[in-house]
Amino acid sequence: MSPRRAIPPGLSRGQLDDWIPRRTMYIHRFQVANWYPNCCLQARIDLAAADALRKRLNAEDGRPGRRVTFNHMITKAAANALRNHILFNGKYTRRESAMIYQRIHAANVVDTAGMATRVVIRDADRLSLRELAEETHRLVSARRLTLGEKLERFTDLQARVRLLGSLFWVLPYVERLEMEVFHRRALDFLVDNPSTVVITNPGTLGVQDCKAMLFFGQLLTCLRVMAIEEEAVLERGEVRFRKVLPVGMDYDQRLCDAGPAARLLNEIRRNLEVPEPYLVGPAVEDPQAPLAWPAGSGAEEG
Amino acid sequence: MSAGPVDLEHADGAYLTRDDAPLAARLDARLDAVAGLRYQHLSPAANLHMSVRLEALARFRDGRDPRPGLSACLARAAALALEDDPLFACLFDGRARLVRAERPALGISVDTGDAARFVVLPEALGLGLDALDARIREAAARFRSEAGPSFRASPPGPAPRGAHRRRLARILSQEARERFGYLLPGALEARLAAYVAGQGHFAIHNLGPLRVDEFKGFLRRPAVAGLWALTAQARVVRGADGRFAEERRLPLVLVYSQDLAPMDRACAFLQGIVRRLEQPAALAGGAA
Repeated sequence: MSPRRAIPPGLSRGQLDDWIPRRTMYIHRFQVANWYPNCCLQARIDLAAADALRKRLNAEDGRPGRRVTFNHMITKAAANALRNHILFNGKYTRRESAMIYQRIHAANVVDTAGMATRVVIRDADRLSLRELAEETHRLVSARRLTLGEKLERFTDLQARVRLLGSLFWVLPYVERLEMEVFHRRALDFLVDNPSTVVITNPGTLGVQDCKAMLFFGQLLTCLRVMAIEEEAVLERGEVRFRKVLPVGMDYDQRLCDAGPAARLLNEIRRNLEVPEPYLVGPAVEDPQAPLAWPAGSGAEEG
Repeated sequence: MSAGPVDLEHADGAYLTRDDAPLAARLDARLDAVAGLRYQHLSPAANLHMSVRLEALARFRDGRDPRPGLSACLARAAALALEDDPLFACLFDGRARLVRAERPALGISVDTGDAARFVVLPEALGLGLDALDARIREAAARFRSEAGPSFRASPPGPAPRGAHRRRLARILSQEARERFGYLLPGALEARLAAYVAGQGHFAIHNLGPLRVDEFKGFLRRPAVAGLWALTAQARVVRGADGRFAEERRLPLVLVYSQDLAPMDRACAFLQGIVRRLEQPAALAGGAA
């Protein structure tokens, strides 16, 4: 096979020449020393009730910028559930430490111009499902408009100034050293990145199963949404098919065991399987939830 | 909430840092995991999935008095499989030393609400199903009664003065022990013994009550393998009479160290557990 034929379809030779500079920031992040031991749990969620709610809301108002998708419902369900499992709503600061946030800012991973980027839905638990859908549409449209252009400019600059490419290999080490040594620097870095949980949906690309990784300087929890599947069930001797959504969760085994993680996943499942009382309005905090925000800690944030 | 000495003018809402009591207490409680689970302490783990047809096991359990729990059945099947292939109950120091267990101890993880604790059953092979079940139930009840206050109920406010420095010192000393301790005579044996006392030679995790449908995990040295059981699943199959019927299956995941165990051997080991659970008469026996 000639080298030209090894290029994946849809990727021209010119694009491949630029590929490594475009991936530099990912390559240095994915160094083995940067990842954490994470476990991955997965639940298969029955979508019948969520599908009915989605259709009803879209029949009421189906304008492009206001349409509700499963993605929005999952973001809302995850944000609601995190309100009662706040321990998963945080970031790493240093190697042995973490920071837990009271406010829930959900980052949705969006495929834009061949690169994954995040749009952050602030206070996702406090928004109604419709508000969350509107905000997501608005942010994704804006990001798609701006990111491709920015990326082109960055790649051009990197090609012209070769030293810049070399510096990119050194900067993460400097940054990590700073974060190891200076706690304040670490906190500043994290405040610049407003998301507190990340939700990625490889299911839209047809992915049926995968396992993500957690990295130094990133979030404690990653939720993954897989492709919707049809599952056969038997009812009164008749075979019926139902839609199920596999939702996976990657979490740091050092911060908690499988029990608390599975309970968060099950609360997301409950939000999606019984959506009317949970998804339509703001999140309802359960005062008995053992992993909710510590009682008496922190003033009501504005 | 205070963030200690750090001034975050542009902080986005309230937050808890390691200097706040609830999070500091939690990180302290999980010190071993926080310091120990670095990438260099992890095995190159493979995840192997198989499932068990549950009809025969359900009949077997219903026919016994007292009815044994699933964890006890898993423990008994694993103990018998470990007798066939003791490699999976060995301990590996990550360098060149593989320690075979004369009498493998099984660790059964128990969810206590906030964290998992292990019931360690030394000489598990000698125990019958009823004895295993009684010990697991007794320890699980004890662990749950001993559980401390939850994250929400933990006292608010700053952590005690110097708590962070003390924790950092403990982490550094633990890290030094893990990296260089093997150079001291007897240190490796002590570390392996501590591991066995905490988790046994082979750990079993029953995630079924937590409604987990799928799992991918990792493995920490010195363990060579661990077993995870997930939630039983119903599948529609065509029965012998041609009609559709529901079949219940229990998914099992064996996480094993690929550098030590070839896949065919791991498959044979997991099949040994599956076979014993599908033909549960094999589980009877052992001391009462």
